[in-house]
Amino acid sequence: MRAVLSAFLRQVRRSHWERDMDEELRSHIEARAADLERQGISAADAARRARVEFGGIESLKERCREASWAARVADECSRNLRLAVRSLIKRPGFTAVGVISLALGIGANLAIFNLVERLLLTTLAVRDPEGLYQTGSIQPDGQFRNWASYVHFDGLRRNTDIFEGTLAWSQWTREVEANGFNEKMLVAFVSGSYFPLLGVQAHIGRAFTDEDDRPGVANIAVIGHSAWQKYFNGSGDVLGKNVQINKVPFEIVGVAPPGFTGTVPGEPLDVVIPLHGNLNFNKNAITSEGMMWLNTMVRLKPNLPLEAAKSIYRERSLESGKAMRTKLGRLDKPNPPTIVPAARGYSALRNELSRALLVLMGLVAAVLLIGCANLSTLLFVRSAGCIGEMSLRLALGASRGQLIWQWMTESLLVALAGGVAGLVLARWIVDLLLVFVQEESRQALQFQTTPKMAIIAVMLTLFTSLLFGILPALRASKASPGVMLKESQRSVLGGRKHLARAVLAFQIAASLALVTGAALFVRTLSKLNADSGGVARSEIVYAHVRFPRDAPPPDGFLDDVADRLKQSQVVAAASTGRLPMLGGAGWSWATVPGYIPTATEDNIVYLSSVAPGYFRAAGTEILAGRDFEEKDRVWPNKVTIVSESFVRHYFGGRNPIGEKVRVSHDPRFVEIVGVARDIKYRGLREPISDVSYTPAVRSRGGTIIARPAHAGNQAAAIQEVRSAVMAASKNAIIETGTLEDVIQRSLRRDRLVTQLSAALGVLGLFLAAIGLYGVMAHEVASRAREIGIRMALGASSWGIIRTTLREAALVTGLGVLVGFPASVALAYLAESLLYDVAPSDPLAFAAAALILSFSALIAAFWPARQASRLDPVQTLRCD
Amino acid sequence: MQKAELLPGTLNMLILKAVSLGPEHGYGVLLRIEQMTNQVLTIDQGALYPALYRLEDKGWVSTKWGISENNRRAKYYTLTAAGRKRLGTEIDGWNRLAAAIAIVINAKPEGV
Repeated sequence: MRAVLSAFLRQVRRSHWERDMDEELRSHIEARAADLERQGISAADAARRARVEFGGIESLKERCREASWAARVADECSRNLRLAVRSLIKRPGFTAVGVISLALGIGANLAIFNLVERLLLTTLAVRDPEGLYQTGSIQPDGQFRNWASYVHFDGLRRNTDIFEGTLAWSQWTREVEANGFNEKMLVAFVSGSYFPLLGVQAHIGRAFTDEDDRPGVANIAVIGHSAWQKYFNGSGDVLGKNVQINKVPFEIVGVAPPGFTGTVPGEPLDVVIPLHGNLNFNKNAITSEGMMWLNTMVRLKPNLPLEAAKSIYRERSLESGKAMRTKLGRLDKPNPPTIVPAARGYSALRNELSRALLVLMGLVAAVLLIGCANLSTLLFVRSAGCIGEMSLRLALGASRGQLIWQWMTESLLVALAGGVAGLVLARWIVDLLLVFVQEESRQALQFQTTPKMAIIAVMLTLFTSLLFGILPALRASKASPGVMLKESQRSVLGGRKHLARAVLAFQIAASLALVTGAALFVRTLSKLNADSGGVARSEIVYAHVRFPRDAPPPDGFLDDVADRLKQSQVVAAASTGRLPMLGGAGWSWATVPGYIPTATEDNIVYLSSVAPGYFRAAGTEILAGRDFEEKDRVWPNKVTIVSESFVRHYFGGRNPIGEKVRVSHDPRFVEIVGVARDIKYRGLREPISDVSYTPAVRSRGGTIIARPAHAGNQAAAIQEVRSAVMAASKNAIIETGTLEDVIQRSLRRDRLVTQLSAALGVLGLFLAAIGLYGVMAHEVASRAREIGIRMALGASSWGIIRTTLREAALVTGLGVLVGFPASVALAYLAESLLYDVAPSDPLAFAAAALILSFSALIAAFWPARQASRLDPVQTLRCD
Repeated sequence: MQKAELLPGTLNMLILKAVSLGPEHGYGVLLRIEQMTNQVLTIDQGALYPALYRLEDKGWVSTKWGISENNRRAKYYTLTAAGRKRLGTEIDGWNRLAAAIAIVINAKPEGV
């Protein structure tokens, strides 16, 4: 390896400059020979004489090289490189720790930055992205929401005085058949204004206009550029062919330009069809006021200030919302409408991940810093070890600059190897992270070694090598030429030790922050997993059942299935109704006679329509009153079962059974017949909300939930539900699963953060332990003589161990002390990611400090034991 | 013809002067100096190139590959602005030195 490297270096050094010099000298000799020939000397003689006159060509070249700075530098560099490579090979432990920790550090930083860039920083590939805005409102939780029905979109685009244009879109994953491929693709429904307003021209064919987005026009589609390449080989005769979306054919009229990925970063656009194309799948899509399926974007009128547009929009939205609010009896404050910039598009994934990504960014930066501090510590130890060599070289006339260069070359080499490995690792780390992201986004978020990423990798490499290399290098070069000749090297450690310890303490402090973060996230995840949400969460299995339009089942199909399941030995309880804890069914505003709400009160009530037996199947207790019965299943509903929190809210301690309330858009009052235990209706992380259950009228499709007779036997229960459905109808399209799986999917962000922070915490801990070990081992080696004397004077080996450990404890304690406030600050930054755990959670902090101290103890114990085993006679005799 | 020894430290000045008359390649510099001094001064071929490389390193001459008068590829040296300044300083220094030496060697015994 060394031979290969030095041969390579020789090659580089020689290459250009040496060739030039060779040619110049040769042409000189030839010119001289030609002159001599002109004086009448024979060609052979002339050539010979010219060479003789010129003299020794190799020694001349050497003098030329010395005269030339570039060559001199190349020479010194190659010498430094040789030295550095030799010394790195001599210490494989240090080299391995250095390269691996930097590779992981740089790789993790590149990986997280890759996601941050794609999701948070990249602007849309459209005309003037800075001119794009989104209209919507700020929800009580502080989040901006933008969902709109087609009716709302239609109203929005009438604001032509403030908006230059308005567009709407909605994208879903659908089964698509294209050119023989049958795959899940991302289908976007877009308004006719979409392409014109974004300023996007078709690559071939044409894009949509408003003419294509009307009732009654033909089914047409534009396909994305990458889908065109993938499914049609980029062939020009794609125009006029069909793609089938859920078996409905759409004629391809154009291909989107390369690089255009729509308005949602991180989601590639495969097939685009007009909004009215959705009528093929949902007859109410255009007319329904309640079907909020669209995201909207606007371009402001040029020269209209954002603030002016905002206030006009706010006024109008509040005004138009008023009538609807009175009709519904809404009492809570309307969410403030607003306009926000949309140059970077709209991404639910971004909304979900941005805080997590920023926290992870902080964590990976901490890991890189720890890695640097670790290398720095190890280099300090080494610089102490070769003071003799350094002072000898200084005495022999080397300059300090040369010594620093030599040390830096070594650091640079380690960093370079780490950087290259990091660039490779980054791709792998991103792939690992993308497991937590839904499938269609993975490809667009994958790591690519773009020039930008390469530049960042190089910068990180240079930065880290400077960071960990410069202090030890400066220290090492400070050896005075006299030192080695005067005394043994032991006595000069003094000042150097403090700096090494400070770096070590910093490293421990940063590790504490990492471990604390990991502990907080682990606690969060375990709390999330321990929360039952008010249902038999780990037991419930479900089946979503639907039917093809041409083969509908008999009325009451689902109840038929539930009845069949009641005979089963495998299933303990089964019913129909919504899968709990995932929300989504709808909500309304409650009116309770005799209850006078305050002006700002939130009187939202969430609705769930369920069949008799639902509560038993879900494992939710009925605390008072009764379950629904068959006689309740009439339209309009006459009865309701409400949740505990609803009772607390509107009835205080009173018995609500028999009271009449209004809980839906239907103006009629219904009677409360039962009270059910609170459940996490909208999701695990959401607070408990008021819920009103209404008896489901008999329905064809929907969801069956069931609980196995023997806990843990979900697979058999799913099989049982499946065969019951198939027995009732052959045409049913069934999707089955367990509630726990669905919940785990919804916790993917939490798992991502927890697992990553735990991995980073372990890495930080490991590096801190290595650093501590290095320093302590050196300490023991350099104080062997002192220890020997103390042992000769009667110190016990336990006493020696204790003194050595005390030193380690001091540094660790200092690190923990410094790291504590930093950890608290980081924890508060991550507060919104925590669940039921305070950022100052004493348990997490205690655990982190304990784990760190314990690791430090283990790391320091080995050198301490070595110290206690020194042979006093040996240590005193040597030297 | 009688030849003269080149004084140490004067080679740089001579090269800079030779190059100041126009771009020239290494062998040409040699010939030009010999011609200008009517072969009184000859430059040691072994000393020329290290000197040229040193001058290039200091930024007083720049180099460029071109075609020589007998159709050969050759590296041409050109005086840079810094080189012109340096030449001026060297010539001034030389003139002062020569004048001082001249005074010493022309001194007549006075009142001795």
